[in-house]
Amino acid sequence: MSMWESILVALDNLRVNKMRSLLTMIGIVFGVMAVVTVVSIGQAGQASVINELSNFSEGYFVVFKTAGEANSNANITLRDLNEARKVDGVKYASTSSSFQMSEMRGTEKLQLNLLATTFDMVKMQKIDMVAGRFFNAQEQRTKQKVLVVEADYAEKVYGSAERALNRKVKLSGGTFQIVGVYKPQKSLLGDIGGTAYSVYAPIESMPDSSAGRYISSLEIVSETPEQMDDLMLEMKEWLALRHNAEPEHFTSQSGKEAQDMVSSVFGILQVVIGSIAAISLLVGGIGIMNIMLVSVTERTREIGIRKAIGATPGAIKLQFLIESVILSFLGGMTGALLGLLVGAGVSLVMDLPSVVSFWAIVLAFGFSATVGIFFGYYPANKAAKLQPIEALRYE
Amino acid sequence: MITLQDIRKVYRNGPLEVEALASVNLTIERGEFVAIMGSSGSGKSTLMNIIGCLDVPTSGKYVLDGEEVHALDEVRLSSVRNRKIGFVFQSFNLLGRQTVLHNVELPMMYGGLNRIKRTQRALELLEKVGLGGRVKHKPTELSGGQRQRVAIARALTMDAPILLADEPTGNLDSKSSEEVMELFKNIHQEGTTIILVTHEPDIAAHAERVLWFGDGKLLRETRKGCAAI
Repeated sequence: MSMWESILVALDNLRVNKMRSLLTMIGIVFGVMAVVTVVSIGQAGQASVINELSNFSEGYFVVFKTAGEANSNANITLRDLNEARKVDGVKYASTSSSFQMSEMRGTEKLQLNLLATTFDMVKMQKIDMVAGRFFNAQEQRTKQKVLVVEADYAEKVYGSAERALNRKVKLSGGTFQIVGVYKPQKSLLGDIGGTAYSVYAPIESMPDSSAGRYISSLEIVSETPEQMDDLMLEMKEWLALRHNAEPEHFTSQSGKEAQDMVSSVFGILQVVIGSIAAISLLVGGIGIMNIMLVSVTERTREIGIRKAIGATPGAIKLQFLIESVILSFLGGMTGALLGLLVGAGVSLVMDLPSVVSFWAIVLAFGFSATVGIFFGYYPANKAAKLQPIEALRYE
Repeated sequence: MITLQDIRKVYRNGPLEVEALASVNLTIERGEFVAIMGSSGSGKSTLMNIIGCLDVPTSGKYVLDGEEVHALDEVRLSSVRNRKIGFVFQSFNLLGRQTVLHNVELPMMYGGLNRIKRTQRALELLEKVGLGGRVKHKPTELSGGQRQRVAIARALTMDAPILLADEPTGNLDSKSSEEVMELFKNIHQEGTTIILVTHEPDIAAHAERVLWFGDGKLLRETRKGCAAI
């Protein structure tokens, strides 16, 4: 019997037991759907975060006190930032610290994520201004309480970006004047963070603006991208010299490195969650095995008849194996399709780039076919090994 | 062409051993029409199953067309069943969900014949057994006599030299039985060896040679036109 005929026979048997075939398939559908969904959402998220990180200019890197470093001399201060601008090869230097604040608007409480930074930030990072301007060096030096707010905030409170300009905002640190409105890059993390609006203010306008104030990191852009690697080392040595510490007390990391790190974190997450999802595929496979065993028992007599008229054990085995592979394959196909749809839907809702993962589909197909063969083998073998006369006598 | 030497079949049921066949020696020549008779439990069906390669003897030698069948593995045995033996059962043993045509084609599928040849041959045989108009029916839509004729057509597809029939008329009324026996006669006249198990003397009367079984042994045999040996 040819392969094609075996497939036809298998399809016919599945058709006769429609309901059962469908229910068995659902196990695989959900397993594959889970895997594909996780992987495609994961990839979309990864793409989004990497995209976000690539907002930084070429030659961008950060220097911070090495994690777990006990040397209290090694705390980076605002004074370091101001001196860093004068270092050879440094094009821009900045820092940012974030403060969670809330503002009462009538009866509504708005959450603000205030990023205290310097005027250079607008040159180091893509910040799309839609109205007004970013605060300048003058305002920063004179500790002006000025604010650059995100477009959603301006629209929510004032109706439009233009109307928000020059308005006053009362925050716990004092009253700030809005000088500009910007449109934030699409951000996975921001969206997950929920309702907080991001705003920028000069770091000098914060309550503690002394030169000795600690800052978390220095953000640097080198004159040319080629200089970056050398400058990353130089800045550590420069800081060590200033703080009477060792270069190892500081860590520098480029935007590229941050991207790689995020990529690997997302990769690990995908593997972990994907593996958990794959367990449901395993459960689906056991479902197939179970139903195939029932099917073999039910069709014992049919197997006996086929053997009596000349079916080899191999032909019988193939027939049952094909049935289980078709079950898991159809389930895998449906699951992959649903998974992609769910992934695309989630991406749409969360405003993520839509990524169709080729590998997720290949994986799902390969996996489901393997499940079909693996879990179909035992029942098929059982059928193939039946003694013709016993199978014929079976009632 | 069929030679059985000292064939024994013992069924084990826990500590109990039941001897279904006790040392059977038998030769059946090509083109014979043999009936095997005996009460139930006489071993006649067991013998039939061994001849048909559906069951293997516990010991003894079975030579079919010069081939030592008792030594063959399951793959070879299925080939023997496919090419050398056509089966007709008391309970028909057709695939109920498949059409009459598909049922008749089935042995040829396992025999590796191509689709066109298969269908052609199946239609030819169904015509021969008088079911040319029923090829698209399911067996469940046919009468017992018609089903048995489908089974006979199926047994003939591979031009097997031997046709084994195990109580082929056991589930049929007398008219259908006669039709079936008529078919067997025709098939026999075309040169096919027929071995038929029955407990009805008037069915056995169609055969040239009758083997009487009891307690797993061949008790005696009679030939048409001869007295009991």
